[in-house]
Amino acid sequence: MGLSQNENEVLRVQELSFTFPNASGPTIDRLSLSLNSSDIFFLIGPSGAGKTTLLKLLGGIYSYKAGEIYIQGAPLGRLSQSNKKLVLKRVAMTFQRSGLFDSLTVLENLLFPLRELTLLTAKERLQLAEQILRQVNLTGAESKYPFEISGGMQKRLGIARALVLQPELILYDDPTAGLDPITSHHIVDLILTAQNKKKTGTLIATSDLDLAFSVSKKTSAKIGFLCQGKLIQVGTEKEIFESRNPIIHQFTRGLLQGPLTPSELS
Amino acid sequence: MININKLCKSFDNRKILENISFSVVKGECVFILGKSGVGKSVLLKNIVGLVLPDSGTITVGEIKVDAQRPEELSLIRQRCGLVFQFPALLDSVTVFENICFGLRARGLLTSQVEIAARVKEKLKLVGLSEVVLDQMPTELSFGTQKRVSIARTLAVEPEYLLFDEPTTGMDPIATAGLNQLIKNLTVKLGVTSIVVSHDIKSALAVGTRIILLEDGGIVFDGKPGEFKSSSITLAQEFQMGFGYHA
Amino acid sequence: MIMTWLGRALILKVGEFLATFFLWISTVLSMIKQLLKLKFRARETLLQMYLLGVQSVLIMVVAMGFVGLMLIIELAFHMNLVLKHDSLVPAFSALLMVRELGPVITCLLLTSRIGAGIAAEIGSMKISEQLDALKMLSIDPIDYLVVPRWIGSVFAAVTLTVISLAIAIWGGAFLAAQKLGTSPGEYFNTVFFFVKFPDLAHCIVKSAVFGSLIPIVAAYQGFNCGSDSAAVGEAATQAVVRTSLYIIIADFLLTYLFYAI
Repeated sequence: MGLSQNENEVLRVQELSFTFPNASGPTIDRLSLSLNSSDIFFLIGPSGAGKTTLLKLLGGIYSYKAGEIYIQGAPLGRLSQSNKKLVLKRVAMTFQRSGLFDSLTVLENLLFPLRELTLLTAKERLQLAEQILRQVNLTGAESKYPFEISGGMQKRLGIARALVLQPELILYDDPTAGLDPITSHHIVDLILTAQNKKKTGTLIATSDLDLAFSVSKKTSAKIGFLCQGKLIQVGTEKEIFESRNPIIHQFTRGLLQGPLTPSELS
Repeated sequence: MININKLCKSFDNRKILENISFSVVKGECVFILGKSGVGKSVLLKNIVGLVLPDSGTITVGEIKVDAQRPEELSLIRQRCGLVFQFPALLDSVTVFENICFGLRARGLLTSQVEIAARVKEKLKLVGLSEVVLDQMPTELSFGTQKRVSIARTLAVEPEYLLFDEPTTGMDPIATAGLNQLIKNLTVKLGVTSIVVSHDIKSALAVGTRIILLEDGGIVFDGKPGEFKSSSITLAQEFQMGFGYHA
Repeated sequence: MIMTWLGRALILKVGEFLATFFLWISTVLSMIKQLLKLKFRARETLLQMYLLGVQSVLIMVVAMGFVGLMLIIELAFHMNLVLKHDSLVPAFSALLMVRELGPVITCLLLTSRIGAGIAAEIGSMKISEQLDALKMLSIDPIDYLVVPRWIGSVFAAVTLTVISLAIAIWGGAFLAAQKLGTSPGEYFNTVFFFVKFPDLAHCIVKSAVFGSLIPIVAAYQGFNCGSDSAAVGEAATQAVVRTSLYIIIADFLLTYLFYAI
């Protein structure tokens, strides 16, 4: 089904363009990238550059008309509704604003996708859910509601929900936003352990440069710089940090003056 | 000078702050660091009387923070401006209206000319051009909204500025911009600031003093240089971050 | 000057209304198409039937009880004015209740009770990205959220209309005995002489239609909720206002359809 460049390729994006109905310009502009299973890819860039939009396109939440997204070789835009549903079962996502179901308890948040999308028995579902809760260190919180647990625990629940369906590709939207350095570290450990265990393709959109650079250095993950919907450079952390591109240079150094300074600043 | 003496606060039988005592003198830029949920924001809100302590006293200048005396509380809130984590601008009025809101509400200035002059002055202080004055908050980026909310707090000319997690959710450039702004205010204007944050980089770059909270108590109180070489485990963990060195 | 401004504002409003109306029609039609696929979710549907129906019983019963009492008084006044006697008051009040006031007032009350809640709930879910999370799990939000509420709302509308009609007519019997000296036997005889099965059937159809309008309009408002601080409240208010208007218009259309053709 479809043309894969190689057997290990879990994601391929080809010349993807996307514009919101009332927007003045494209939010995603002819973007291409590819990811093999067991690869980690960081998406960095200024806020509003399109990181969340790209993730939602990859997760099948928004539909696109220009370009193509291939999930394990299957072209998302050309599939029927039922086939699309099957393919998207292999993709999971975490959201910036938790996206947790606030009328369900922690345990029910995990049981719900299992009930909807798998044919496991009730006993098997419970076992799997509890196993994942152990993995993310949330045992003991099963009967609490999302608003009763801390921000860090909410993020862990979001990751648990992504892991529970054992996907081939996981998309993380700013998983450490708003967390203190120590909790962030724990979350990242979780993400990397999950990736290592099941060799899933992992795409992380983040505004934490420290995170992207240090993990990339350790694991040789690629970093892509997204600006105004275009992927202006993809490379290792050394290549990105030493980039001659003025936009990337200003951003990675945190400089006040440069092409990214907003016009309303005097 | 702000003086906090043996402050205790619990929520739902959980002790958040236990016998916290410290003072902040004029001209300091104090960063209060700690893990999420440790009680940093609660501490700030206690100073302006938005949250009441279970025991202990807080004095701002000579005035004691006491909920039973609303006029004094109002005076304290004029001298201590709190900048919230989320800009909290009124989204149904323009930027100009937002900035002079506090002025009008307190009746501090009455002539239109004086009000306009004060607004423009504070706008310049936070580094924004006059172009934004007629815009609505929803048209601005997050970083710009933050600056407008700081201008709003500055408009009533407080002696103390309290920041609740100012750089959370901002990209590196906006963070650098905000740090520069806080530094300018402290150095050039002599404004005393208390910044609650978990951004260690900003604390080391901008702060004159760092206080580290853990488990309801203060485990470190000293200069940034001392923090860097501190042997306290939490201090080290905070600085380690992801351990990236170019 | 003021007239030009008013005139312009009016034209803009009308244009905006027409554009939104056509967009609304197309969205609602696609929603109905989804609803008709009827993938049944027992757990959620039963919960909604309880929340929307069972929990509304008390307010309906009290309100409609008073309506029934009020009708007896008003109709007695009118009939005495025109016919100089009031033996037909029970029949006419029952007929008016069954044909019009029963379904309309019950469903208008139901709208304010559950319409705002549905719109606000779905609107907040949109803002906290829960709708996106459902789509990510390949669960259609209409399937999961709207269908159970639709079934629950129709169930609530129909059963509550029937129950409140019973209460209103009973209340009427009591008041008629006090005020008009009509015995209960006389009262119910007159009522059943005039109120026939077709009237009851029309009453149930009306309440089913109105009951369907509530969740569809409320869900539409929720799905299209904005993201600023006033958005959720706005969605809730609009849901109640629009549904109420549509119920009144639908009542006219259905009455015309049933009785005037």
